[in-house]
This record gives sequence, C-alpha cells and structure tokens, in this order.
Amino acid sequence: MAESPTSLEELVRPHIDSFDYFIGEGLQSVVELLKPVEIENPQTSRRARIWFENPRVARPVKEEASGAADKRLFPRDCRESGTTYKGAFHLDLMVQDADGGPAHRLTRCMGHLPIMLRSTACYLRHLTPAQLVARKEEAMEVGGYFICNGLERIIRMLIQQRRHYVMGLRRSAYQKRGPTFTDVATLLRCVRRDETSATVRCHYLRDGTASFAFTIGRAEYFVPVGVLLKCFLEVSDRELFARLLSLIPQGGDGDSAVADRVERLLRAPAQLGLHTRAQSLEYLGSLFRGAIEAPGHLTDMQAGEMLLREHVMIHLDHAGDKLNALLSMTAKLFSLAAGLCTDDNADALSHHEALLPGALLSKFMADKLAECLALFKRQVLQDYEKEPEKVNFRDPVYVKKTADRMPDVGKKVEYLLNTGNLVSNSTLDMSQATGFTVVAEKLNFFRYLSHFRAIHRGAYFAQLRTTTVRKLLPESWGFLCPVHTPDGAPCGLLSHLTATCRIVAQPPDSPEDVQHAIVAVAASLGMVPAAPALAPPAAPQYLGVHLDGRPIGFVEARAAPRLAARLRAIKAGRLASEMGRSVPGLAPLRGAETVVPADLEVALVPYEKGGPYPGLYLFSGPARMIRPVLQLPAASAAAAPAASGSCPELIGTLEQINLHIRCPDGSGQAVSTSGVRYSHAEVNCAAMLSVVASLTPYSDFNQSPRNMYQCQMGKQTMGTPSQTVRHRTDAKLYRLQTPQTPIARTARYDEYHMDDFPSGTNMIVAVLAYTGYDMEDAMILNKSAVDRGLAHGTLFKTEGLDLRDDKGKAMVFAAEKKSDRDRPAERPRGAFGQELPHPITSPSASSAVAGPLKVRPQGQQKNDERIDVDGLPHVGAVVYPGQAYYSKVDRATGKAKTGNLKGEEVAIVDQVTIVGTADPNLQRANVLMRLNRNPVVGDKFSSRHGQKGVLSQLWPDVNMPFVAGTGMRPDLIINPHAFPSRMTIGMLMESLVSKAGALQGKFVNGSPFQDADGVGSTQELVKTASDALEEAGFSRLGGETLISGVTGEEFAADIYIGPVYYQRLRHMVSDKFQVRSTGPVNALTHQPIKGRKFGGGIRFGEMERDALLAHGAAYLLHDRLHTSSDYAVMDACASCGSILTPLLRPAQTSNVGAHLLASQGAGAKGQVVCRACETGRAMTRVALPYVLKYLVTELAAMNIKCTFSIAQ
Amino acid sequence: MTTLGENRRVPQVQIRVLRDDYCEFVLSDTDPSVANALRRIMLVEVPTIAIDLVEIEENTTVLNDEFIAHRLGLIPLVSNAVYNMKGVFEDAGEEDFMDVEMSLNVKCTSEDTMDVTSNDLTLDVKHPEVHPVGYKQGDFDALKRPILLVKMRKNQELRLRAVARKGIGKDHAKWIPVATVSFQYMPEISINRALMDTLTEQEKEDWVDATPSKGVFRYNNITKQVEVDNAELYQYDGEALAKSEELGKPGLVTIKERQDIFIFRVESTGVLKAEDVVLTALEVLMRKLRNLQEALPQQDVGAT
Repeated sequence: MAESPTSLEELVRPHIDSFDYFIGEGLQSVVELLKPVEIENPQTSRRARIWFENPRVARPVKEEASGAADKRLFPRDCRESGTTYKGAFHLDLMVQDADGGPAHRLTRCMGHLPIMLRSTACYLRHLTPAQLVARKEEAMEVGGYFICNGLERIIRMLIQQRRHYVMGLRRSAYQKRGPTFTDVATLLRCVRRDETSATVRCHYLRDGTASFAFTIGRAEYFVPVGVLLKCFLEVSDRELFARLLSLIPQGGDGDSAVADRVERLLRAPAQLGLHTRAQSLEYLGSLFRGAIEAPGHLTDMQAGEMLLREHVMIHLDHAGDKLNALLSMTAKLFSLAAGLCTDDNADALSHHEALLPGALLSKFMADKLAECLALFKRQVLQDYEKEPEKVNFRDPVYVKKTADRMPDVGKKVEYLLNTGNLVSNSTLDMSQATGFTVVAEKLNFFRYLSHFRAIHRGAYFAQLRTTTVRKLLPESWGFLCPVHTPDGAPCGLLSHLTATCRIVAQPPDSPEDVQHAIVAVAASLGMVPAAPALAPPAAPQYLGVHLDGRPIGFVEARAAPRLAARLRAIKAGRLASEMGRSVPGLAPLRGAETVVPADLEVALVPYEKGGPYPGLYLFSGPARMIRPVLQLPAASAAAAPAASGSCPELIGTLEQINLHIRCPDGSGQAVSTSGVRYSHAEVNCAAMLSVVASLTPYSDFNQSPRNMYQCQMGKQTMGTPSQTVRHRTDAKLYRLQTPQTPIARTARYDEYHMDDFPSGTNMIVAVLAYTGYDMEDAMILNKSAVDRGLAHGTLFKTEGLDLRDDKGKAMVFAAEKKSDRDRPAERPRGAFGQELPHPITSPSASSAVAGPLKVRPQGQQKNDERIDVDGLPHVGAVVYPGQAYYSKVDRATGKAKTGNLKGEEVAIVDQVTIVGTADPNLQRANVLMRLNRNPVVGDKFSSRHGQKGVLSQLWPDVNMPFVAGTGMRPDLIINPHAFPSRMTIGMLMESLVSKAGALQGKFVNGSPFQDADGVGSTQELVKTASDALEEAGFSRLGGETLISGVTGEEFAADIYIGPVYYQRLRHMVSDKFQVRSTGPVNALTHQPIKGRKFGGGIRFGEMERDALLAHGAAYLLHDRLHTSSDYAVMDACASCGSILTPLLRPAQTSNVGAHLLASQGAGAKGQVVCRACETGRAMTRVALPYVLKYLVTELAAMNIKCTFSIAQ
Repeated sequence: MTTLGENRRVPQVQIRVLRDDYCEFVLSDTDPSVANALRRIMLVEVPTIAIDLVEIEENTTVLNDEFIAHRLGLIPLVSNAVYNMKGVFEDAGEEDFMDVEMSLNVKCTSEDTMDVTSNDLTLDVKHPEVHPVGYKQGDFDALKRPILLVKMRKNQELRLRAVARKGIGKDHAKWIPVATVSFQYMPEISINRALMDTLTEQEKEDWVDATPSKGVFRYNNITKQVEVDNAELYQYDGEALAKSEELGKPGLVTIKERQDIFIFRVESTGVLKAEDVVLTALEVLMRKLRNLQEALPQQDVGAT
C-alpha cells in the first residue's frame, strides 16, 4: 500500500484486501488448482483435456451506452437505477485434443462479477475526497460493499475453525460414528491456496487404534490410520513406531500402554494383508475409486494416489509432509486419549479465524468453475452418444457451442450476494448455507460502520440450546469487543472486532519464498529441520515446529523461547520498517530475515504436564485476526524505562494466550502479581473496545450492560446517515435536521471523523421528578425548545417508479387530462389530523388567507397542483395520504393510472430523479419523498448511557422549572429513579463535565480508562470541571436552585442540571401507531382484519379474554368479542332450530323492478320462510356472531347438522 | 364584594437596571403567585410579531422548504407595531392591520458561497417599522450581525413570500419576546454572632471561603467579624451550612428565602424593549384580572 490508509479505511480493509486478492491472485489460484476434466471418446478411448486459464475481471461498464458517451459505470449509477455494480469476468477455456497436440484457447465471458467498491476493479479506488464528491459519492467513501440491484450489500464475516492447527477434542457426538468409537478425536482443517478446504479427523477407537475420517462430497468415510500411514512413503513399521512414539510427550518415563497402542495401530494393516506402500495404496484405491470418481483408465494404485492428493491433507503437496502431519495428528490423539495433554476448546478465539468475503467468493468460484467443466464434459459425452461425428475439439465452433452451455457464473455469484444463499452440490466445508450477506443499512454512521466490523459465529450455533458458545472467553480479549454484542437471540454470537484488530486478508506475496525463509531463519536459530530419514528427537525435551500445518522440524524445549523471541524481534523489525521506522536496539535484518512477514504468528505452547499439546506453531497464512501490542524490552534491558524500548508487534489469537501482556493499570510494573515477567504491553485500554463501544463517554463509570445497550441504541439513532442523501435510493433514511457535536467526546470520536456524521443534540437535562409525566422512563421535553428546532427530523423515502413493471403494456409518464365530470377533491387529512394551512373564512384583512395562493403551479391537468405535465410530481409538492403523485398513461388505450401515496402521513416531494435505461423512452424515475418527523409524544430518545425513554409530554416553556439565577429552562426532564438501579454514573459525569465545558467553550475528553492509560485522571477532570463551575458562579456539584414554573415556588432540593448529548432513536409513533374504530373486515368471517398496514385492529386474544373473565367484566367481554367484532343479526327458525334454512321470499309481485326494490328496501320486504319447515311462522331474529354462520355452514358441508333451541 | 382591609399590601417595584434589552427590578410586598404570574405573562402572553406563513416559489438551496420556513419564523422582528395589530384569532374587520408581507428573492451568481441573511428580506412598504432585529445596520458590529438563513452556491435560488403576524408565545416559541425572564427569592441571612465568636480567625476565614459564590460573606479584618456582604449573591448551594456542620457548629448561620421580595431579570430578544415587555405584561395581567372581576359578581351574589 502506497498511501497510508485513514482510520476509516483501516476498518474496512479486511473486506477490500481480501476481495482485491480474490480478483487477482485468488482467481488465478482457483483456476490453477482446478482439476482439468478429461473426456474419453467411448469409441477410440482417446482422451481430451479441458481446463481454464487466465481469469480476469474487468471494470464495470455501461451495457447500453452509445458509442460517444462515457462507458464507465459508476456506483452511483447503479444505486439510482437499481442495478448491480459488476464487471465482466473472462476466462480462457483450454482444450487439448487426445493426441496431445497443441491446446486450443477459447476466450469466454463467464458472466459479470459484482465488484466491491474501492477494490482494485472499482473506479473509486484511488479517488481523492474531492474526486469522490464529484462522482456523487461520500467524501469519505470507504467501500467494502457491493451494489446489488441498487442495494448495498456486504458479505458478513464468519468465525471459522483455525486452519492448519491440529485440534484435540472430546465430543460425545463422536461416539455415535461407530460401535468402537470413543469421544476423543483430533481434527485438522486443511485449506488450499484457492481457499477450498477439507476437514479431516483422527478418531480414537476403543481397541486402542485410530480411524481417519474425511469427507467426499457430502459423505463421510473412515480409513484405519495404520493403513493410511503406510501409503505416503516407503517406511518401515519400526520407523513409524519410533517416530510416532517420539512425538508423544510422556514426560520422561515411557508409558508402555501408549507404546502398546501405537503397536496395535501399526499392526492393523498387516491383518488386512497390507505390508507395503503399494499394497496399501491399491487397497485404498480399489475401495474409493467409485467415491472419488476416478477415471476408468487409472489403476487402483493411481486411484489411491488420487485419493491422497485430493482428500487427505490437501494443504500439503508432498507425501512426506502429509505423513508428518498425519503423524502429529495421531500423536496428539494418543496423547489426548492417554491424558497426557488436555483437549482444546473449540469455542475459544485462539482456535478461530475469520471467513473473509474474498475467501468465500474464492471457494464458491472454485466450486462453480468445476461445475462448468463437469457440464462441458457431460455435454460432450452426450454428443458422443448421439452424434459422435459432431464432436471435434479442433473445431472452434463446436467448442464454442458446447461452452455456451456452461452456466453464467456471474449470475450465480450475484445470486449469492443478493440472497446470501450458498448453492452448491457439496457443503464447501461450511457449517451453513444461508445468511452470508446482509444489507449495509445506512441508518446512521454507527450502524453502517459496525456492519463491516461484525463477525458472526455461524448460523449453526444460533439454534444451539446450550449457551457455552455465547460465553465471553478470555481468549477474545483485544480481538472481539466484550461490550458490543446485541442482547437477545444473537447475543455472544454476533460480535464486533475491536478497533485495532486487523485480519490478514491475503497470504504473503510469494508464499513459498516466505516459507523457505522462515524455515531458514528457524534453522539458523537452533531448529533441527525435519527430514524423512531422520527419526525425530523425543518429546517433551524437543518440541515440534509447525509452519502453516506443516511440521518443519524440532527445537530443543529449552531453546524454544529464545527462538520465539528472536522471531518476534524480527517481526517487530519488519513492522517498523513497513511503517518506515526502526526498532531501537535491533540489528538490521539480514538475508532471509527480511522476508519474514510482520504478521507472522509465533505461538509457543510450552510443555506442561497434562497441559495443552506442546509445540511451536507458526502461521503466515490469511484469515487470522491480529492486533498490535507493544513489545517490552527483554529482561537484560529492563533497567531502561519501560516505554523507551517498546515497539509494536502484531500478535495473533493463538499467540496471545501464550504471552504475558501487561494491561494498562497505571502502575507500569514489569512483573505481574504472580511473579511473571511481562513480555508485552497493551497499547492502551481502548484496544479492547470496538469503534461503537469506544464512542460512549465515561463508559468505565457505567454498569456494563448499559454500555451494551448504548451500542445497540447508537446504531438505531436518527442522525446524519450520509452526506449524499440526494444521490441515494434507500427505502428509508432518517435525518436529524440540526445535529450537534457532543461536548464530552472520546479520543476515537475525532479519529473516526464522527463530526461528519453527527447523531444527536446537546440537551439541557434536569434530573427531576416534576409532573409525574416522567415516571417509568418517560421524559418531558420542552415544547418551546422543540418549537425552536430541537431534535427536528425528517424521514426520506424513495419510491422507485418503473414502467417496465407493467408487463405487456405501453405505458408513458403523462398527466391525466382534466374532465368536467371530476368531482371537487375532498379536503385531505393526514395522520394526527394534519391539514393544509387553515383558511380563515372571516372577512379579514389578512391578505394571505383571504386571497388565493399567489404561488401556484401552472397546468390544466388533473391534480395539477401536484403532478406536472410529464406525469411526475412537482418538486416541493405536498402530497396527502391517498392522493396521486404521479400518473402514467397507457398508449394503447389512452387510460391513465395514478400512483397514490400510501400510509397516513403527509409527504413532500423532495426530488425527482430521471433514470436512463436501455429504452430511449423514459422508463424509470425515483421520487424522493420527505416526511416530517419532528418530535411528538411517543417518540423515543436516549442518552449515550443506555438510558432510553419515551417522550410523554411536550411541556411549554412557562410550565418548565427554571433556574433562579439564570432563568434557564431545561430542554428535557428525566426522572431521578432512572439512576439508582441502573448505575449509569457516566451520564452524571457527562452532565457535570459538559456543563463546565459549555461554560468554558471547550470540548471535554470523555475517553474511558483515562487513569489507567495515564492520559488523564478522572478525579482531576471532575475537579477541573467543578473549579470551572465555581469560577462561573455555579455550584461545584452541578446542582442548581430551580423554581417551579407552575407555582413559582422554589424546590426544596437542588436539582442536578447540565447538558447531556441525547440521541433521537428511530422508533417513532408515526411508524407504529395503530388505531381503528370501524374499518375493513374479513369477507368470510366479518371480523376485523389484522395488520397495521391495512387499517386493521389489534388482536383481543385468548389471554385478554381470560383477564376479562377473571375480572367478571362480562359486558366488556361481550362488547369486545361480539358487538365490536362480528355482530350480526340473522333469522333463525325456532321450530327446526336452523340458522341456515331461513330464506327471504320476495313479496309476490309481477313487477320485476319492484321486486328488486322490495328485496333491498327495508320496509317492503318479503317474507322470511324456513325452507325446511316451509313456513315463516317460527321465524325469529337473533343476534349472533357472523362466524357462527360460517361454522354451521362448514359443518353442514360435512353432513353435520346444528340445531339451536330458541326460546323467547 | 369585599374590600381589602387594613392588611392590604401595595406591591412595590424598584428598578435597578434598565437598558433596551435588559431590565432588572425588585418586586416586593407581594406573593410568589403574583411574581410567577408576571413571569409567565412576560414569557408567553406578551404579543409580538413573527413570520407565520411562508409561500415558497423557488427553492434550490440545500435546505428544504420547511426548514427555511422554520428559520424565517424564528427571526426576531421588531414588534413595536404589534399594539396596532390584530391577531388571527381576534375579531378583525377589513381595515384592521393583520399582516406584514415580506419577501425574499436571492440568487447566488458568484463562485463563492453566499450567505442569505435576514438583511436580504424585503420589507413591507406599508410597514417598514416591522423589520428583523439589527436589520441593515452595523454590519461591523459583531453583536448586530444579521441572522443567517441559509448558505448558497452558484445558481442556487430562493424566492419566497413571508407573512408576519401577531401572536403570543403560548402558540409558538417564536413569539416569545424574551430570551429569559426569571425571578429569584431574596435570601435572608442571619449569623449567630455568639456561636461565630467561638471560631478561631482561621476557621472564620475558611468558613467564608467555603461559599462558592464570592461576595456573600466577608471576613472583616478589622473587627475580626464575619459579615453578610451581599445576601443576594447567595446561590442556595448550602456550602456554608455544610462547613458549619464540618466545624461542629451547626446553626452558625440561618438562611431563609424571603417570600415577599423577588428579584426579576428580563432579557429581551430585541423585539420589544425590556421595559415594554414588563409594562405590557402588567397590562395583560390587569386585563386578566378585570375579566375575572367582571365575571365574578354574578356568581358571588350569594356568597357575601
């Protein structure tokens, strides 16, 4: 990276970097690792090979653009036209005919891949803020998302098992794999360069041997480990025995039981008659050739090799490495089974990594391209069967025709992004198939940012009934924010990365060179490299060294810390040199050392009897979470002050748990209380907090759940969602009209440019029980303050009008002609009685109300005060609920159709955007509507300390209490009962400190943990604030004498009053209120319908019924369930007791017209007769629920008769 | 009707400060209810003029129509003409003066950002006396800078007609004539001399320093006595009482608020003179009382 990324760019970097890698080297790896397809001619048995080469992704271009215009397709175009920001994806299809002649190349477009914004394939990549603004983008656009059908979607990060690390597990589920299986297994997730992965396991069996499990397609297969061990190299059982045993740390005294088991394990193949490598391979090959779809021409041995290559330890290429990896897996298994080491916690972050967007796409792409080749093969085989003469791989026309049958890969990727559903024949080694993408809502900046920092544990864990996975484990420290997780269903599963946490998004530039370099460096520091011929030295005196899941050698246990320390020093040096600095006291790096990556993870797990399985684990691969900590100088240099020699180092999750990291506590000691010498120190306390959590001021004074609530509420705040509201097409966008910057703010507030997206108002808050309207978390707002514009807000809604939705009709936007028959429109009304400005009909002198409006849009069409001649609304037009705001005319019939405003609120047309389409005629337009959302009773507000409340009264200025000295009236009154049980001292701090800040005209540092970080002292802060208050003539403690505005009497107690930053939450009554007196009913039952949208009622359900019954409120019950529901008066025949048989027999008359009239008219009705009794004498009028009639009818249809006994 | 007896009090007003925009007076010999009634009327029942109706003809600025209309409404208009006006809810005839029509017609033609301010309003030719506070005067005086409405870039335009009307603060805060109006009870401080004399000199000085509002108490170096200097500055912070407790001498001082002396502070926004606000408020109060009086006899016949 040439330019240094800004703090915001740093937050989305994992997304962008991984996508960059994907469209570059990632796709190249996918294509390289894709297995070529061989097609055998059934007649000649000659084989042709088909494969892909040279993938490339182009930048997005306009498809329909005419020659001269700018062909570039910009993100803004996609947002406004509701299309996808995608670039063409090309591949070369290579076909080599059977005779081994030259390969033929066919360049083919495989569809269009959605492009991540600000990635290398995006036009916005290197634009400056000014250029971005010129492109109608946010000045601080950071990208990281895709635009799919106009929506901004991001690929969610997922937590996955750490790759290339052998996990020892005890799970009772493993016993269900077979009769001899125990709960002990080791597990290894192997990932190839193209991010395709396969998880393999070694199961411990009850007879002391082990079974190796792997997955092909969606099926699981087991092989005895003994057989598999013999397949890789020509090694003797004796040698395997020695190697395996030396890997098991038995703590000096050789355990004969373990040796027995190893022996039994190695004897197993002999019982099957397998003695050599060839025999074992053939054995496996013969068993699995069906499952792995080995071509018929392969021998069993070749099939066995294919099995090992494609399904066993796929991250390693060499048989020797695979053998070593399998040996270490088996050794860990036996150690675990013998109780020599503990099992690993699969829920701990130290054994996790992140699934990044690029990795998911890479995996997906590998699967889809393989499908393409398979389809091609199937097509050719079909052709061979039907018309073999047609098949000719040298004929480009034939190849092209067949290749055109391949599916559109771009469409599939688009589907993945649009729906989040992963469609594949195999599981792709994933635990879930849905929920991979979410819409990046721009409700406000907090919410937007957290989408990029969110990391989910996986859908599988969401339905787990146990809560262990949700637990906050110490391993997450510094990587996942302990505060920022939602409460409720996703609690603990949906976490957020801390602000300083990064994710290694791509492997090192040349992975092989790096691996060689690391091996060389390690060897120069005392590592004994692994060699096939060399029996490894015994554990635990020697520890195995693993690099990305490959055992590379051994190091003496005593020398291991030195090796690790040196590697760390090199890492820190590399990091410093990347940042253009140098580490004091570190010799310049030489040779291979300069290739060691700065993000190398060096996890030294020392031997400890019964502890975790020891070893030195090095990781250089992608997907790891890393974060910077300070490296403290070694013990020898301890005399120097701690800070002088410390330099940052990037550490990983597994690495962290084996380090001694000092947390800032203000003491700066070199040795912990338990006597351990610290090797590292945290940069600062904020390192443990996510971006959103670190914006809560004085969060260290609050009860912890309150900070969690604030993280949620901060994301629901109405604020400044975007600087480019005019160029966005979000369905809903909330905006605060006059947002302010908070007086008390944390250090991160400026770091993340939150002033560009402010989301609240500094309100003068009095903590006071005033009228009773502030009970139970209700709050009183000063009406006059609201009159002056406090917390005024707007809701923007975009209506996308598309004529193409009227299929088969030739529609154009046009105004409707006025006709003489039009009735004058009724005076429209909005929610809460919103009306047009009231005309006062008195013969007054008022010019404005008496005369007609002077400003009038011109037009002679219907609805011309709203709709222009082009059928689209005037900008600034006020549209009432149900009124038309656009009209379109069918060219064929000339009939007009209007679009009417939905909802109950009055909207104002803010903007009309014309969108170009392939059609030269106007087909699409976006209408941006503005809805007034000024505070009304029922709206929700919250401070930044998890103190939310509902507005219960807008109290006029005169009635508010006022400060005796200054005459100030508070903007907001909150009840003191909100504090004792919730313990949000931070809010009280904020009030006091902001008051002083406001008086002095200064912002106040509200960062949490100031004392520990040594940047300030909260005691000092409070003292300074108190002094400032005193200076300005206020009470030191923030209290003031208030006088009741209603009675003019002084309050007995001093009232705590000061400015607090309040957020207005997006939950507003206007979106939620549901009232009805009468309204629509269900046609079948005549009962009121449900649903706010349709004007329905609120269900009076069973529990409500019970409550009324319990109270004996029979009349009310009758009213609710009958009178106000489906009350119906019907005829019943008292003699036969039926309500279905009565029929109205019209009065006998010859006049048809009179007959019709009679049957409808109330008075001149005919006679009601019972059809069963043939008489109307016993007819009675009864009031019944209408559903009863329905029930009786339904029953009658099933031959069940209902009779009612009717008494007077 | 009863007449007020011997004990009737005659409230006194003593004016301390009187400027155009500020008035401070002491109201004595009356009750908190009267004082509060006066405050409430000054705040919300003194009529003023403010823009109440805006017709927007063209608005291509960054702020939306309602936003601009709201901002226009909040501009303080010099309201001396309000006494001749009739409000919307008053009985008015054809000849009555009800509306003041202003207009705004601005277009930005320069490359720079242009400020549209209250100075850009075109006044009603019939009523030029109704104009925004600080209208086209003293551009150099920081305090009299015109009120910013909106900022414009090139080719943006704002064309509208605004009608100002008479109204009161009860209806909308824009008609409130004052920034603040508040009253304060006069504190009555009495020092227990006997007890105070038991303190050492140092303790006396400390005790005096304990009160954050300086100037309430004074330690007289000559008499070695603690004196009440200016009781009015006392903020009811209770520090003096706390200090007394701390010294183990509760009752060193008794502080009471007098229920019959009120210090009023009226800060005008500039729409009316502070003096006029007070006088109009008294007038409104009188009118209210008269209305009450007129309504009373019919009901009170049997009572007395």
